[in-house]
Amino acid sequence: MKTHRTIAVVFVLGALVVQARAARAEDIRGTIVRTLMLSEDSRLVGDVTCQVTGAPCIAFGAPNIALTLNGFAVTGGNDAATGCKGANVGTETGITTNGQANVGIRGPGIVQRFQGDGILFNATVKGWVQGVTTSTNCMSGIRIGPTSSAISVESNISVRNGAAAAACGGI
Amino acid sequence: MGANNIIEANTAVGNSNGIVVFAQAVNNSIRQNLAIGNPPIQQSNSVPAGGGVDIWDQSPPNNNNTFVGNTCLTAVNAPCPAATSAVPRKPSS
Repeated sequence: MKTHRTIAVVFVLGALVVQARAARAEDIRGTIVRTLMLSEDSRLVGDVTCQVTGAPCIAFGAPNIALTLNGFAVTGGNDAATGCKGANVGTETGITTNGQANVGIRGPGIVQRFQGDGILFNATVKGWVQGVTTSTNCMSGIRIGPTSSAISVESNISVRNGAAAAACGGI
Repeated sequence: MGANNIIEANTAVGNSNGIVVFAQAVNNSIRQNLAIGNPPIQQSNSVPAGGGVDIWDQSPPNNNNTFVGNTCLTAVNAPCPAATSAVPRKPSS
């Protein structure tokens, strides 16, 4: 009897642990008006429109996590046809790693129309971006900052990024 | 670009520059990427006219950044084998 009770307690605890892990991923969709700080594995469940000015749209706030774009788009305020009109705002990044280590962004999905970089690895050690399309960002589609290291940029597509005023571009 | 990074199997088309390796970059590997049409011949409004190339290595030679197997048409301080044209097969082959 005592053994059965112990097993039941173990099962209940195990179920709680599994449930806690399953609930960790954050689902993201809709309009973002302040920088969204990620603290756990997250994914898009719909297109995202960013109305953040002077700051990143999405920033990693913890190490060892990933953002899955899940086939959706993260879109800034630039016009699709006219782009940034030659001016860029370095702080207006689509997604920044924000100094967090071992973080990643997984496609497919698109990051587009930001005044700064589409995706910025900023002061990050170990990171990756894979299968993401970046388009019509005023600085680079994907940029690895000078203090970042051990970053893997693989199988991404960069189209129509950059401005003549800055020495940046696709990657 | 910082240090010890891998840029692999990406496609960069129609940007102001395709792939840029900044002056401070060290020990990076840029391989098997396709960077063509940077800047685009037909300038779009989002990428105004300006000088740009498919691959641009701004770092000094002793920074040990390597370029292997990339496909591009224009480059500065980086190898850029011309993209080969497609050869039509003979009807009998």
